[in-house]
Amino acid sequence: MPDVSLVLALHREGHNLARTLRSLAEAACFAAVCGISTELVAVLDRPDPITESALRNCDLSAFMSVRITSVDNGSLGPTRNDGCRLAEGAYILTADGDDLISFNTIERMFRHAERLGPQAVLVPEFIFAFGAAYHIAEYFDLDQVTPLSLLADNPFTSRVFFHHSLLERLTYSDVRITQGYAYEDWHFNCNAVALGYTFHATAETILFYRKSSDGLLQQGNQISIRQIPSSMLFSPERYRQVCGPWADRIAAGADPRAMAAGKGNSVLRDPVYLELLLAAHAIDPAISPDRFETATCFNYLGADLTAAIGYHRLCTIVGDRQFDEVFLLPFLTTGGADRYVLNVIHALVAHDPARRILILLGERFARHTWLERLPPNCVHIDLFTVCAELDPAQHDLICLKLIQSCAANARLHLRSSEFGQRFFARFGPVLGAYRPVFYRFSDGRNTYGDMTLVEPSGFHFVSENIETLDRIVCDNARILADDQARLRFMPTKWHVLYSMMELPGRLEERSPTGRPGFSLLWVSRLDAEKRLELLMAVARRLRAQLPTASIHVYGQPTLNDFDVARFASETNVRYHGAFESIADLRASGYDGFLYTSSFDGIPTVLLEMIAAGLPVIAPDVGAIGDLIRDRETGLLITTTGDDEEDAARYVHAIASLAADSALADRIRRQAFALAQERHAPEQFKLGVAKVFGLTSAVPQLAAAQ
Amino acid sequence: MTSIDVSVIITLHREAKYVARTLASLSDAATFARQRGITVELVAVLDRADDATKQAWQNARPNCFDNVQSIEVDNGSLGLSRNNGCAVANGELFDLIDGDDLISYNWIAYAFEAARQLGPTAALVPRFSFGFGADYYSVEYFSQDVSSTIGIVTGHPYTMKICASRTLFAACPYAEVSLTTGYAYEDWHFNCNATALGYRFFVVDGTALFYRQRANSLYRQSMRTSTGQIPPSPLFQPRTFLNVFADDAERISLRREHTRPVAIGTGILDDPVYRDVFARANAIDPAVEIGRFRWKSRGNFTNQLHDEAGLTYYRACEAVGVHPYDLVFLLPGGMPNGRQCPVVRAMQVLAQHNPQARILAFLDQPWIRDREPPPLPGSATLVDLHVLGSSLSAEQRDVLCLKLLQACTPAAPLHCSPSDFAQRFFRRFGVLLADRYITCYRPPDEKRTWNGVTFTDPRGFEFVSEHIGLIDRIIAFDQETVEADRYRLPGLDHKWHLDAETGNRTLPGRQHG
Repeated sequence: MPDVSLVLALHREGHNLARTLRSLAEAACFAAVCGISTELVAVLDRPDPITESALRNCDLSAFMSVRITSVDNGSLGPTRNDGCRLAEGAYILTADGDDLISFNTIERMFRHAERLGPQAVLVPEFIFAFGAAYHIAEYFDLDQVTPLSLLADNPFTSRVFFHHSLLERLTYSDVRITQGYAYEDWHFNCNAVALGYTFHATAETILFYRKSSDGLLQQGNQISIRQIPSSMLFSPERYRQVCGPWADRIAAGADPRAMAAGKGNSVLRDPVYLELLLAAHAIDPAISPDRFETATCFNYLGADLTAAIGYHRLCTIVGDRQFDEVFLLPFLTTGGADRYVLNVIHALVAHDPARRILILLGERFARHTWLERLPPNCVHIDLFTVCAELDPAQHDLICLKLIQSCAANARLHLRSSEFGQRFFARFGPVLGAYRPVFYRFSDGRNTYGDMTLVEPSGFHFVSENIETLDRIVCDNARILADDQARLRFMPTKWHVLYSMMELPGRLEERSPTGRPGFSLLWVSRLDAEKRLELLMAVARRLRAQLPTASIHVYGQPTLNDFDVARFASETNVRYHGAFESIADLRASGYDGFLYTSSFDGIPTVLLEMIAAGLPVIAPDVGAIGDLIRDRETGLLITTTGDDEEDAARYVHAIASLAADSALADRIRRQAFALAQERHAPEQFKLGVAKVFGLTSAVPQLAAAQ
Repeated sequence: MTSIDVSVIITLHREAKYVARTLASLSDAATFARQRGITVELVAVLDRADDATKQAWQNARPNCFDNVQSIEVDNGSLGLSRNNGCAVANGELFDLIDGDDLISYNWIAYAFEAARQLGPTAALVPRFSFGFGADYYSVEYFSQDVSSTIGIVTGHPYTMKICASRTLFAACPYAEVSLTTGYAYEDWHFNCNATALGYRFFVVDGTALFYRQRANSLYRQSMRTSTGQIPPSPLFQPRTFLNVFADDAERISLRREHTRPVAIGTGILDDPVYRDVFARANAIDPAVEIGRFRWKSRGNFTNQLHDEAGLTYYRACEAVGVHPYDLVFLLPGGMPNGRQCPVVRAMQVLAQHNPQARILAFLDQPWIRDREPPPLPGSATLVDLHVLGSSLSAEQRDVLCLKLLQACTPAAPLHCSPSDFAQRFFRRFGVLLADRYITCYRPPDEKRTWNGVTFTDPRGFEFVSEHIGLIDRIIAFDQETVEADRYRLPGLDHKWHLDAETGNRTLPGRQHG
């Protein structure tokens, strides 16, 4: 049995291979002189003819034995595994077809490994990159760089020397050059550390790493997400166990990295390294000493560990929990979208009380609200509080690690936000496995002078990620219609789930208002998008055409672009100022509700007014037409954007409502019935069950009705 | 069928989710044009379209054109598919668009009206191209008569969006530039060919192309894998280039009548016509959003290219003349220590053997010996890029060298030796030299000393090693070099030849140049 098996993965190294084989043969010769036998296991993975020919024409007599096999993997990981399976040596040394090694590598690593025992994995002390670019990378033991450094980068190399027994516990993963994961070597090293193996740099050994402008590493860097697949090292329990002591030491000011020092390019003046360098230079002159003189030198002693330490905090918070649902939210506040998502969470838990939910809040927010409304088996992490020192890219990274490690089978939920969209833009190619659900609310509008344009972020996100998204959940049918008009693609991914509204059991009967004439309620923010000029024009026309009518205005300016004193100029308008809650308005005492927004989804205030039994007059903009059907569930005004023209239409509608109490009564009843049918809590729960295919919930909830 | 004024030719491959928006934009433009009495046809070319794209086309097939036709082809090539579309189109004018872009609602009408005014040799492009989606930017175009396009040698002054007479597309089909050829940009190439045929480019005011930027688009893919160059075009034949750009060269070189037009930049976002254009495009695809162009734009560019590169090419064309060459040499910067340059010596020998052979030699670094020009035979023409293009970057000079190689020496054998110039040129454009017979002269490697250690200068072997697949023959001058190279590159012994004292024993015969 050979002492060492050199497992060489080959693909399309062409004319470079002869020099690689010479280098490996020299190392095998040197080892043999020192009493160490080496076998060569060459695995040709979809090779080109030049590579095949180079292998067959080379003098391999330096090796104790040679095994050559051909495979059809198209992937480095499985190719290394194929080689390892054939290897008979007590130790394995991995190699690639275009790199050289210092002639003492096998001998030094074998002796080092014999000293350290089978739990040791060895890497060369130096990488000298040459060819298209030159640099020197210096490697250190795991205890020096700490296992924390494996989270954000690979502090070791793909060329490793380990005891054959490791293969019983670990193989390389199949990480192809795709848009998804990459770096089977980094992944292998993480898993080895998770299994308790320790990494050591073998002194006075060098890997001469050929850099080409279109090598596999470069290709992987260009198209992948530059992250590794899920590794057992990052499961919270294992991570706390392996990395916790190191995080504690660093927190205590005892960073082990401070004890180590790099040699840098001073090794170029060390006779031992120089001899190794010149021996490699004789094989390939491109390994030229003077080119390393000015080359960049780096090591991992100074790697940024803040993300790794931050991830340790997350692991401490989540403990050993696993999650079924993960919500990526910017923050939690009292907005309509927040309420909607919160209701979804409650509906999911109502369906299955054991459902475990993780909420990651990824944007800076002074004070999250409604956290107390989260169900008990819900874990929320405010990344900006827990890991304040991390930048957004690091937040994204630790979120990915957490999702990989404790939500492997979870569903990912996100709403339109900078955090969610950034995360998706970076890691989208691997997120399909998490059946991502995107909550899609009506698009905002951006105003530029006299021009109003659709805010693009929501639709654009859907457009660019539709293939990866599993479901798009909209709070009204208009979104679905608009999106499909633009896309006409994968329509079955869209689901309409109307927002939830607590409604009284039955519609209140109308009672005398106590107010003289016909009184209308107007409630909203006093901002330009609510068309306050239209409101004023309505008041003016109303005064002339229906003198007994009055408009009661509630709300306050939030953008300071309206002077409330102007209301006093219209005698039929009464401004009541801000309000605390809708209940304070005693809405049921009015004869109708007036809504004048320039765009909207289905505004909550309309549902609240319908719940209060008011007939609604509203514009046919955005998704309002989905709720207000003209003369069925309200009076729907087709607006033109011209205040005077639209005011005339509003006043006509108000007059018809005032003149026809039967119409008013019919539309308020029908609106209430529609709201019950779509927005009642039971319907919402049924809707959630249907959207997510929670089939068992449907009969249960239906029975509960 | 009604006679068709404009055929809009759209190519579809894998744009399923964008097709509806593109067709909505085309429909908007066709409706506007038809209201002005212009008849419009839509021709869809589905090239290896996936099922989703075919379905999307069927679902969104518009009915507001005078005629709609679709064909399925199996090209895997944008250029060939456009040719297929042109072959079946019925219009007097052809208007090309990709399957994921939008146009301004007025484009078809205004382009047609401009074509009527400007005559059959006008090629029309929108005044603006707005990149949107994964990236935002704008490009403002100027007509060829107000902004010289002499820089077309190193950059594309226009866009794929072009509307022109059908006779142009018949005379000048699109080239196939698959990713494996090393070439790219069939549109740039097409526009070069159109310019060579005497077509002039005009900008249509008030119009725009909205050019979708995708994270993994074909364009970005081609940028990564190609040399960034177009296939040879007749425009770069010295005779044609000198004819087409004579006036431009005179104006530029004399700095006379050459005032560059002023770009409007973001000011266009306040122009009422363009605000209307934006509003209508935003309704079709919200990603076309004016604020993104104002605050998130990568830049506002124009098609005013680097005149110097074009002018240098013009001067080089004057220098090389209009007749083709038989041999090409890439010269190193001379030899140190008074040694004779092997490439120059080989040239002299070849000239002696073939006195009629026309030789073109390129030099791109100072000729180090005696500050004298290299001693070339009388039949050789020297293009000293380092002098001629002294204001250009090395990358630009390389492009000029490639263009001259392609234009003046289409199949001539190439002779070179390891040098910084040859290394740079081969690394960048080697893939485009695969059809040539290449001879490399390999002087012995210098020995160098660094920190008391003697080692071999790696550049000679490095060049040979990197480009051994392209090099047909290596002429070495000592046995030691031959053996060292063969040892490091086994299995290719036949490529090395040892030069005899006279230098002519193993030099190429006429059949190889």
